[in-house]
Amino acid sequence: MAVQQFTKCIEPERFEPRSRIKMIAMATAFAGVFAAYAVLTGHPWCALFAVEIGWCMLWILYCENWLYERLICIGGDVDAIGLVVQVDPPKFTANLFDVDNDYCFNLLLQCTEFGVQEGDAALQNSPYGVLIEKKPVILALGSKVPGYKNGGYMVPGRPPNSATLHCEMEGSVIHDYYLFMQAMLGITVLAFGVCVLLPHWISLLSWILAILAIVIVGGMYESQVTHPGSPSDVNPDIATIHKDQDILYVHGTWVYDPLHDGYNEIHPVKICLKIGCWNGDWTNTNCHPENGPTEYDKHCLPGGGAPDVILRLRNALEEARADVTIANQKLLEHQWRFHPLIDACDRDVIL
Amino acid sequence: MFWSGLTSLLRVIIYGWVIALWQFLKLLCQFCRKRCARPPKTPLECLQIDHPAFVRPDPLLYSQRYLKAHGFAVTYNNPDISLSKGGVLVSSHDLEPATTYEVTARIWNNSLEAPVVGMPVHLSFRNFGVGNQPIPIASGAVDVGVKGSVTHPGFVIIPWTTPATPGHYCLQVLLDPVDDIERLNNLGQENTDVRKAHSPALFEFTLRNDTPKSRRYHFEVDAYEIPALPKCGDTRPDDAATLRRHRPEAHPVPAGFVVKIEPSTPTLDPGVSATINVSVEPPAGFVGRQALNINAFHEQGFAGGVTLTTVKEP
Repeated sequence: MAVQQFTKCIEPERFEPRSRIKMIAMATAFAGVFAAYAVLTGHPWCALFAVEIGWCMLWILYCENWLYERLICIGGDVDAIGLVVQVDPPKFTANLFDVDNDYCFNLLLQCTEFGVQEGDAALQNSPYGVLIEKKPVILALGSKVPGYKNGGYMVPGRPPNSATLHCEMEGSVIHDYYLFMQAMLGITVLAFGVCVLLPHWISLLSWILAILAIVIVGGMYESQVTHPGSPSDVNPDIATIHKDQDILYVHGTWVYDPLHDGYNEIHPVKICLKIGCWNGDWTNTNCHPENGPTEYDKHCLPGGGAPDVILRLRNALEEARADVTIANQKLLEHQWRFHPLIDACDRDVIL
Repeated sequence: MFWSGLTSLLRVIIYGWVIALWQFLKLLCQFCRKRCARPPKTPLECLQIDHPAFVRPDPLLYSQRYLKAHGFAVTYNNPDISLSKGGVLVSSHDLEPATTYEVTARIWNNSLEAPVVGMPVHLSFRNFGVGNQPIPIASGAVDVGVKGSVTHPGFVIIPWTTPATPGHYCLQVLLDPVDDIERLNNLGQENTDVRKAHSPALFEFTLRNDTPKSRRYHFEVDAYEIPALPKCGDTRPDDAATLRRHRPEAHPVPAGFVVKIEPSTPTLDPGVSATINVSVEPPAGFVGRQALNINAFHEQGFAGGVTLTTVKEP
């Protein structure tokens, strides 16, 4: 099972708030070394490469922070069930430093009703309420993080406000930029070396190469940001998340994102499955309500207790990701499309 | 933090940039390939998603309607539906009235990523024939792992007490997942009859118009039975050749068999039924069993069918 994950969360004790000034200072200092060398060796025009080196450096620092130093780990991988109450797909933005193309949605957690607030007993007693509670490890970071302003993600613009769980499926754009800027930095340093060591016509060539590289980044920008994926892509698994209708099971890393307004979240979501339909409350989420509650609904029924269906689902998902299953799936007998008795092949089993 | 940053920077300048450039170019190629394969854009609903984290199951069973829609011949002797009594397999054409049987449905999953857990499975029965109204029996639930896992396929057993009135019934199994990549392969039927040939073998079944419009029906007959699978070699078998083995034209009625269907082109108003008589005359000297599939079609396409087996004992 392919998990699209580009970020890694950082342990709370290692977390430092992001400082753009620090990033700019580091990038400037680094580029300054190249600029000074160019000027002192009598190649002032080559100092222009230092600008590009500094720009690449700044981007690398920004991306590293975004990918590896931003999200604060709370408690490893967790799962949750909830109703989709808001979806925020990736959008185009002209702001170069806000090109995040994550797919976000918010879940009203199982067994909680619209309007639930963080302090409510209903949330505290709900199966997944703990996921949006204030965590001491985050509170201990004090002013380094925004804290917990609202208690859960408050879905704006739709009364009554409800404490929900924020979830993000990661897009690749920051990671793509990270790769590109590393490549650009190497090429630019090479071009700088050519500029100061070789004749001018070769230097001109290196300029052309550098400009070509910039053109590519433009293409990358357009491809990843203005086209974050659409339903018209060729993808047989294309799905639709229906707001206020779909009950989802999500599994992913439980983190706190200090660049948000103060709430815990699942980021990245590694697995997401539709498991039910909203019929107005949590006592019956069967997509055909006339057939009665589903196994998942036992959690919210009086005296229902924790259903074993969650354990079965976790086991089945674990089995799907097991190496032995993935190896089996590559065997010829599992390459059927219509039905195993129609277009599979038969292998002799040696007992 | 400063030293780790410096180390990381040196790594990037010395060799990291080459690796990054290579990965970046690979990404770019992947994107270009994807973009070339993309059809023109359709109106975008902002809630749609094709992120790999969103996984979808594809539970299925042998579904005549789905396979027929792909141009395959089908048998109504469903390999994924079986009946047993006290643990002994029983043929579906040979059931006793007011007797409890266990109906076992075998469920597959064509997803590599998403299992189905607690999926409802509905069992119903109908009078033998085409288009008859299903009568619910009971529902069960089944877990099916992903393709290639140890919990694949899944099985569900639902007890069924046959009606007290003697008759000939067929079974229908319907999968009812919350989410499904392909919903058309969720309905399977077991719809067979066996008769001894007393020159000829005589069968009858009910054809009912279950559509809202008047329909003119016709029948197509083939002798398809699911052939044995080819052995797995070292390379993937040729898809086209594999699928050709299941086309109706590859399974004509055997030479010498004479099949008569009366009426051959009935016209039925909505909800109206007709009894269809089929006589199968085997060739002289024939001994054994011969299954024939009678597929009914109307102007809008496939309506259903039955499998009739003629037996001639020595």
